[in-house]
Amino acid sequence: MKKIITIARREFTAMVVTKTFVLSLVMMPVLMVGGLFLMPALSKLSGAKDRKIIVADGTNRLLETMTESATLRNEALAEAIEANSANSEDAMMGTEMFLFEAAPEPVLTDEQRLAISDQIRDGEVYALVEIPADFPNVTEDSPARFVSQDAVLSQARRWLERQLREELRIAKLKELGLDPELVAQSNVPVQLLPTTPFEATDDGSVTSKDGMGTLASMMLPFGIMMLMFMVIFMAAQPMLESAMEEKQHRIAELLLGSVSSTELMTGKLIGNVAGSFVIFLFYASGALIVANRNAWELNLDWSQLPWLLVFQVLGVLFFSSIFLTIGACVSELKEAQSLLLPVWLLLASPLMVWFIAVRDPNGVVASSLSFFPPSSPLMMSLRLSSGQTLPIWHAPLAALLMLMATGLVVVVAGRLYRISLLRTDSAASIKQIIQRFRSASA
Amino acid sequence: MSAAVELHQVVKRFANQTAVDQVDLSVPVGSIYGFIGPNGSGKTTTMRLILRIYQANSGSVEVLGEREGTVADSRVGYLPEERGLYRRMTVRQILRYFAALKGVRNAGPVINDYLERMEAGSWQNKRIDQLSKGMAQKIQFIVAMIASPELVILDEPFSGLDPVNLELIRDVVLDLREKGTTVIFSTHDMSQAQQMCDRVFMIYRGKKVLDGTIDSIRQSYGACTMRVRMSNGDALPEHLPGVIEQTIDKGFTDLMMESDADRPQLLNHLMQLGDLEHFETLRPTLHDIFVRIAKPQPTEMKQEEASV
Repeated sequence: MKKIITIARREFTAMVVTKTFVLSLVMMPVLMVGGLFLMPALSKLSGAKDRKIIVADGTNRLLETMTESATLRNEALAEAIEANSANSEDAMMGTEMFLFEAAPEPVLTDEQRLAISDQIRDGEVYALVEIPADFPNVTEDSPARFVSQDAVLSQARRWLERQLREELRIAKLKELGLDPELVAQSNVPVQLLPTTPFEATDDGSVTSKDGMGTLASMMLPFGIMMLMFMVIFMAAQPMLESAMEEKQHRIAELLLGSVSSTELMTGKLIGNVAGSFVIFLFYASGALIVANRNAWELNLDWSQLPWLLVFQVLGVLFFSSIFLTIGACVSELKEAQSLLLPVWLLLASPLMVWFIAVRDPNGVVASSLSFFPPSSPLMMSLRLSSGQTLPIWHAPLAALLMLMATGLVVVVAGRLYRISLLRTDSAASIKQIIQRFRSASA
Repeated sequence: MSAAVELHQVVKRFANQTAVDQVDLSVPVGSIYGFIGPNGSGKTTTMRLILRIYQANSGSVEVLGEREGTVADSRVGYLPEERGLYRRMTVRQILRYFAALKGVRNAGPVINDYLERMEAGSWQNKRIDQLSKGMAQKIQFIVAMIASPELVILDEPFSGLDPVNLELIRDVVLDLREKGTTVIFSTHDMSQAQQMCDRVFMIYRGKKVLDGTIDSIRQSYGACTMRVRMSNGDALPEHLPGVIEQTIDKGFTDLMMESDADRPQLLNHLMQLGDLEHFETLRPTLHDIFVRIAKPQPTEMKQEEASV
């Protein structure tokens, strides 16, 4: 046991006390979610962009209202930027001020269209808007057009569509003899307050907690799942490097002269699991600090924490064993990468269906992936943090299946690890690894 | 316990290849046992079997009186042929780590002693990747010795060392014998083996072909060669009784004899041919014996040429 602890201690130190580890620890969340925070900051740094839009208004009435609306919008946006509260769409797309200008003629000739298009290409003008005289009764020959270099994705195009739709709605109401103001007043917004199921408290009262916003209620489980992914990813990768180093630099045989392959692998895995707790603590405490500073109420059921830790330990053991074996089987990182791809796909499979799973944590997709061991850690972490009550047997069964699969993987990996560590040739395909396993079992 | 290592009819197969084939071996306690043989003959595999890094397909392996379990403990020290250390650790960290793996308590004084003896004291805080190959080899040698083991297995410990360091390690190995430690080492340097070993074991194509003291081996091989010279320097007739092959060497004729040849009969025959000036039973060196066993036979060479 002492030998195992000695190996575990070295592995833990080799994993955690490195510049690469500290850098990865910081960089990983920055790369994954930093964009959300980076975009508004960059937008603020670069300031608002002026978008000069030429409008050929065949109706001779819409340009004036559009210009008024745009002015109001520009003023509101300028204030929001100043107060650092630009909405997420503006932030993501970059803040844009719309400056409308009338075209030379309400109806353009082809020569005029070509001339304005050249200005668009040169960057002098952002867009051209053509509104036919009988708008909204447009035809294929004379459609309402938005012409720009990024017309499909343009923020301005979407805003203009909303404005025109509103104008038309008002016009229609007037045609029907209805007062748009009255109609607007009759539109009463209704909100159903989202809350958790009622609970009896110690003082006998019955309460429920205010639910989070829809976005937050989806993002919290997703965040917990991403945390699990990062912990497993960052813990498993050093196992690959460790086995490869010991094989490439011929350290393995010296080690096997001092400890058995089982002791070596066990020590490595224990050190690795300990390292994974450092990662978990770093991210979890970081998330709690951020939530606390921003006064976010995390609707977490802390009683699920032990289950999360169980799935973390099993997930780390499962994937680290596989990574360790792959490291022992190959001679070069290039060979390892091709073998790692299917392993990554298995681990990341819940990320591909997270949106379905988070909306229905007890649905078929979420439940099925919970009982498939490679995807169990991520899917169960998402479900356990979803706030919904899971059938009582789901977590124990998923953990049991994961435990059995982990046991099997550790045994198989141990056998492959022992036979592969001293071989100088590579088993660069799954077929070769299976052959090697058979020869080890014979 | 009279034998530190006992192998009985040990067989080790890899896929379709038999690396060690029905090998028997008994290594006396306190002896230096040399493992010789061409590359790929099975020396390293035999060592790994003794260390139980590999498990034998059949036969028994007894090490320091134990037939089961791991021998990777403080009683056995091992220096593998393919050497390496964690490059980012310092010399002292490495030695402490392996001392801990060997279960050595208070390793500091032992580490200091060996570092001093190996003239590596000033390198103790250097990282492994800053060491020369020879220096790293000495550190690995210390790793094998650090637990003061009863049995030391050294796979080609002298390869790649300069004469000074070679002498240094040779002295430590000889000292080990004085202290009663059993040493097994493999080498391609036959003169080294002849000088240091009490007994030699040669493995060729997985089979044991030599095993015994240097003297007994030379005795058994030497009896087959006679060195002769006629006083007039005349060449000998092509056919002599019991002689397989004749070779001329520095004015002498070496006669390779059949194993059951009658030497007095040959002597009589030569004396009848003329004035016999020199008649000597040659005792071959270990090198000669090695080459004689491992040299490809003409038929094998033809097969190799054909395959090329």
